[in-house]
Amino acid sequence: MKKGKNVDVLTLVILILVCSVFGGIAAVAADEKVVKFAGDLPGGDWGYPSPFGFYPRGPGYIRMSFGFDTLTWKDQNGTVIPWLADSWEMSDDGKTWTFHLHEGVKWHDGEPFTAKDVQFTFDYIKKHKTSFKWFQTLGYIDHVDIVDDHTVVIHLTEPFAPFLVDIAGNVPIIPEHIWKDVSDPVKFVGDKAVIGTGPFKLLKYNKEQGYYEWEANEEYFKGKPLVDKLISLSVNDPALALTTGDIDETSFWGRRAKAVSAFENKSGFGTRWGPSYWVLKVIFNCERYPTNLTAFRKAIAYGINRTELVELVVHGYGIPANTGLIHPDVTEWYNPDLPDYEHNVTKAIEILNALNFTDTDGDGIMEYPEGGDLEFNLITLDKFSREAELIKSQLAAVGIKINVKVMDMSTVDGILKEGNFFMVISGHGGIANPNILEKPDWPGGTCKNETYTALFKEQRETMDYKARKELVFKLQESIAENLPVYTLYHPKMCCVYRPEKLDTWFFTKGGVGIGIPIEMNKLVFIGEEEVRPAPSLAPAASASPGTTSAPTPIPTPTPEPEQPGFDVIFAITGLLAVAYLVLRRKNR
Amino acid sequence: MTEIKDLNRFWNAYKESRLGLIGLAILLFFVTLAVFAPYIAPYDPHEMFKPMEHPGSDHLLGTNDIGQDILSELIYGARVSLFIAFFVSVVSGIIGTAFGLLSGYFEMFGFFLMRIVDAFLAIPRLPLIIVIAAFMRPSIWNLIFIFIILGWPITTRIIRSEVLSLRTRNYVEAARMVGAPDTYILMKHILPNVFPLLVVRLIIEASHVIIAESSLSFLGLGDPTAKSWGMILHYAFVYPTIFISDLWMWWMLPAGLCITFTILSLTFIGYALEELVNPRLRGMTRI
Repeated sequence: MKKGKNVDVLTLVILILVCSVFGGIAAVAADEKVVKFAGDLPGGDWGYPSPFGFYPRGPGYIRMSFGFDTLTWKDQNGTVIPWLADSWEMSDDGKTWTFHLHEGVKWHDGEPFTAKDVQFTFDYIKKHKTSFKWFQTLGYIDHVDIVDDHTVVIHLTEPFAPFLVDIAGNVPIIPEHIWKDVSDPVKFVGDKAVIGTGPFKLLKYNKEQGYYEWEANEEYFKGKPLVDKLISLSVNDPALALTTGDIDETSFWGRRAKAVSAFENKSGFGTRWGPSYWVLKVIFNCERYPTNLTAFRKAIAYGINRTELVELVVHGYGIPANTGLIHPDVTEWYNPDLPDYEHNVTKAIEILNALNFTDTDGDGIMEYPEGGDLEFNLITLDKFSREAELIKSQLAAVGIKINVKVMDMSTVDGILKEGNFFMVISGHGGIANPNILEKPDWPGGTCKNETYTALFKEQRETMDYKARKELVFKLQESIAENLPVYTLYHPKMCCVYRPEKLDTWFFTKGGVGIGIPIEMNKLVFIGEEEVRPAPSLAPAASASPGTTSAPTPIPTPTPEPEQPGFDVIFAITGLLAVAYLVLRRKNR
Repeated sequence: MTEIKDLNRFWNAYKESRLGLIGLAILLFFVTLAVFAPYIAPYDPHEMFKPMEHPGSDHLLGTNDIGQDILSELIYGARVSLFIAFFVSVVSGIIGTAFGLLSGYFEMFGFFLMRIVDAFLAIPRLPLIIVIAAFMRPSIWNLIFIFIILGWPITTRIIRSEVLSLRTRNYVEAARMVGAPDTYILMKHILPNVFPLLVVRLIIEASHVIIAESSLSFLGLGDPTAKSWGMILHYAFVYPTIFISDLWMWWMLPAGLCITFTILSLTFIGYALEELVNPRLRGMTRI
């Protein structure tokens, strides 16, 4: 009997040893250059990275953009640079664009890329409008003509001011020879669905784990990528994963940027601050009483103390947001003269009283004019539950009772689209580009305003910058005045990386593509000299806690001794416990 | 009079168990915290100060990510955990005992009820709780409801098995023979005899509920604005630098220790009571 027990223990020990040996083998792969990054969001599945499969938010588009290219692209300074198109001309009326395509570009499967693919892409996406869930303005495209194999002419129905970024730099070009037979693009997955011209080929995708693995496209027309393999995974604690070497790069936003201080001036790590064209906002339901009343929304705006929010919850790693959505760093479009609804409880109560909301039973909660406590749900993501908690206590002072309900992102996005809510706290990027003003309550869709929509359309079709700027200002005024959303703060953002793996990380001015604020511009991964970041970035406009750090010198290749992780401690504790039990049994 | 004598006898036997005394002391400590929280806690746990303060004279355990005093959170957290635990164990205990008595005593009823209990017992508890909590609005009363629904079948099963054996005892048969009504037999002869078993069961159930509540909150399925130990752990765990700095020592560890010690105390009390109920076990558990 005793012997049997001992054998069991022995088996256990052997099992543990075997496991750790295999784990070690898996970790030490061949000498290929692998870079692993993790987003700030745990549970990072962003959909299948095909042009029709990705989750329609920035990180989803980015993952798709590794495999697919656009006609133009943006460099670090936000300048539109030639990509699949070498050069282009616009006609005087702004309605005809001629693109001269780069020669010698090949699809991942070796087929040559030609003007026919470009024409096919626009026709195809127009035909499958509802399947392409990303921002699209393809209604402006009348038709695409092919001049020769490497020249296309895109005819627009109306002049379209942001054409080079919002269409040419946004629509991924797909291969005709594959997609021509696909009738349901959303359901089309597999090796063929991810064949593009981009710098990386998708190797593995796991939805449950949010795991993506790409290999370099050795024949990429802009040069072989700097890394052989790129892995995107989701980790629970990015800071810890970075320390233990499970990931090589991640970024921290807002309050999480506090983690950056642990890596600044630490050898083996580089940090880079970015402006983050990102905003957290309260989205109101404009179709449901009482949030459909503009005055009611204003009362809530006065009741929320954004300065306190930035101080207490964001720990200063952010700035109170522009009430007109556009980030203050974007001098081309930012309207500095908007009302900011400075915290004023008395004013909030006055407005509510004027709407016949009063605290009749003296319990500190106002009642609806028709009776019943003024109480409703505030839906948000787990990430922003602290923001919600603070707003709950701030609005309690006004007399509004808030119940905080936490859900995951896709559920919240779904609720916003269905309109089954009163107030939601959620956020998004893209606020460097006026196209975000199209639907201020995106991803919600309850706020409809015809004059606003007309104004937006006019702005888009105005080719003169000054006139357009004025219209963009007016749009921001309208948002700040009508409050379909009340913006809370713009977080600061910092990416932390291991320079020995890759040190070319940068934030794109104005955001990648149509304005995605993260540091995953595909230029980061491409070795061409002219697209490498400048030695030091200009400091972020607003006073950031740690201004942009110069790239850390690449440390000596001697790897630091790995610190024993928690698993080791657990294993030792476990073994000790087993040993103790065995000894005790023997003593008996 | 007899009750007091009984209680005295019980206490004399109970205090023989060192584990039981330790458990009782720890539990009393937490109960005191919970009951007198407003007087003991230095601040209101919802009040916000400067965030992320390290432990100091103002805040003995520092402040959390939105500037709430962690010590006060812990003290108020005892309220949530213990309240849920005792409420659930008492209510599910009452329901479970009632069904247990009836199903043990009346065979047909017992047969049908046991099939329902089987169904409940076949369901793994925590995963089901997670699913239900994810769908319902996570408020304290919803959690209580879920725990009660899932807690009574086990009690019923245990009580029933005891009743089945008690039913055939001579004194019960004798009582039945002289024409005592069923309710009289149940209340006078059977209930007092299953009572010790029930107390042990309640204690175990309470510790289960504490763990379940903490797990749910930790997973982010609790009420995000409630102050419970699991919620403290949740917020600490998602804080970015928690494991690469000293933060965990005063933010995570105390909450973890509170949960551990509460459950430990309940387990010790459970052991001690079990020994009393079942003298064969006496002397088996020692420290």
